[in-house]
Amino acid sequence: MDTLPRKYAFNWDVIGTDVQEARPALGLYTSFEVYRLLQFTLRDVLESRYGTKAADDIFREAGTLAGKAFFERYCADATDIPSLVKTIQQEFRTLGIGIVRFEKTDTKTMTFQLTVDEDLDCSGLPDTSDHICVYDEGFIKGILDSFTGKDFTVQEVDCWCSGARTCRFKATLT
Amino acid sequence: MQDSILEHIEKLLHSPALPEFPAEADKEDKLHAIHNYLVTLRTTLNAFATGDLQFPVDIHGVIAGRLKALQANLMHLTWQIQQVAAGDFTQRVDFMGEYAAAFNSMVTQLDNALTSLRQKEEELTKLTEALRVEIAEKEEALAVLRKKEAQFKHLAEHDALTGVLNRRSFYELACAEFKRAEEKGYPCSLAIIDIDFFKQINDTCGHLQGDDVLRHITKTIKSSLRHGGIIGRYGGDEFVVLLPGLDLKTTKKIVDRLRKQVAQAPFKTSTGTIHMTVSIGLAYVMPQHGLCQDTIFFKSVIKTADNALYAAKEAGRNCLVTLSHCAQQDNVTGKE
Repeated sequence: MDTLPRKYAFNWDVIGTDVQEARPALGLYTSFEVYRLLQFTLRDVLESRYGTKAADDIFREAGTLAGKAFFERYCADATDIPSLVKTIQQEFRTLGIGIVRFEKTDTKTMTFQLTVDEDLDCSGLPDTSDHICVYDEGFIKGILDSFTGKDFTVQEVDCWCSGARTCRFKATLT
Repeated sequence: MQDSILEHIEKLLHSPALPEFPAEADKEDKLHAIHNYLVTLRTTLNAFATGDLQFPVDIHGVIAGRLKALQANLMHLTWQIQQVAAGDFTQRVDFMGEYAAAFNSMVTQLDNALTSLRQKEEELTKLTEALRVEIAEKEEALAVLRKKEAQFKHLAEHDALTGVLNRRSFYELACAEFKRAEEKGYPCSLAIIDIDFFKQINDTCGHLQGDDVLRHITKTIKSSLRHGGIIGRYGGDEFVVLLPGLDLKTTKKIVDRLRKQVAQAPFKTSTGTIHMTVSIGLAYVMPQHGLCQDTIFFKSVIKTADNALYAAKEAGRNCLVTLSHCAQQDNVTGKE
């Protein structure tokens, strides 16, 4: 571990406070191919250096960090599960992350099952029989952890890459 | 061989019963893969068709992909319906074509119907509240009326000056009491009390002071009738007392005690003390069967008591004269 002070500790400011000013001509959005280019090249390097499991773990952890930041920025006003679900659905669609649909919300057992169509990470990828949306797993965990104050485990149980055309996630208390 | 393979695939697609794998093609790996795929597809579709939406889709490819999409849509629809059932009428479906339009229309109409019901419930609640207030006001008014009615009844039955029963009410109660005494077979006595020389009090002290004396006498009569009895103002300075259920000896004792108490309780005014005495005529009645039913009988009892009072006055006042209603025998007591 490097002993130098941290350079990349995340907060929303590090990605620029005025994105409009930063890209007056090109605007807010870019191609999802570019997003995937970044993600998959990063996966490539991480996997090469640390192995597949470690690469997945790192991605999942980054997803959790992102999910928590997403919650604070977009979902902090949610007062209950239905309002949280609505906010997630709306913001995922607006931001082009994916089309979220819930299949189960059991507040007694705190078990949730949801699908993400047109997922930013994996829709259209070759059918490889792999579950690759580890970043999404972490992202959803980050949101649920932040909202409930509890520790969730989120698992992708069906993925576009396994032929599903939609990604399905199951969240349970750890 | 090719024909049997094609025939097998056709059966897998069309036949309700699962066909046996053709033995002659046992070494065809691709046919095994297709066979397994189609068998899984049939099982999955059957599960969906019978309502098992959770059935895992363990095959890949475009057909499986569409099947998974359909499964996800149906499961999400189920969830949305559960949300609607829990009262969330903002749920809308934006997939599955006509179904979405029908679902959205149903939820909108449900929402409108429930909103309308809620409005009506609110109106009903307001009306109920208004009605409750009105009922409370009416009950309050009714209570005031009842109180007034009771006051009027009291005024109608009682003497305004002394507060004891007036003559008419005394008659009614006394008649009822004589009737009861006859039914039960116990005696009943009636006394007329007259204030001696009351006119002089009025003349010397004034009528207002005379009224005070009447109230004072009333108080004395009430306090001395510890065994009960019905008291009425007969008129002017005369009072009537009914004493049911007591034998003659006891009755005389009580009434004479009353007389003595009046004599021993002078009325004190700012200008001096007024000494008073009363003359009392007592009619002792052992009711006869059938006689007590009418007012004629009661009037005759009054007459007996009146005669006794007259005798008491004749005997020099401040005394009690008793007459048995049947025998009408004089019996003067307490002549002082």
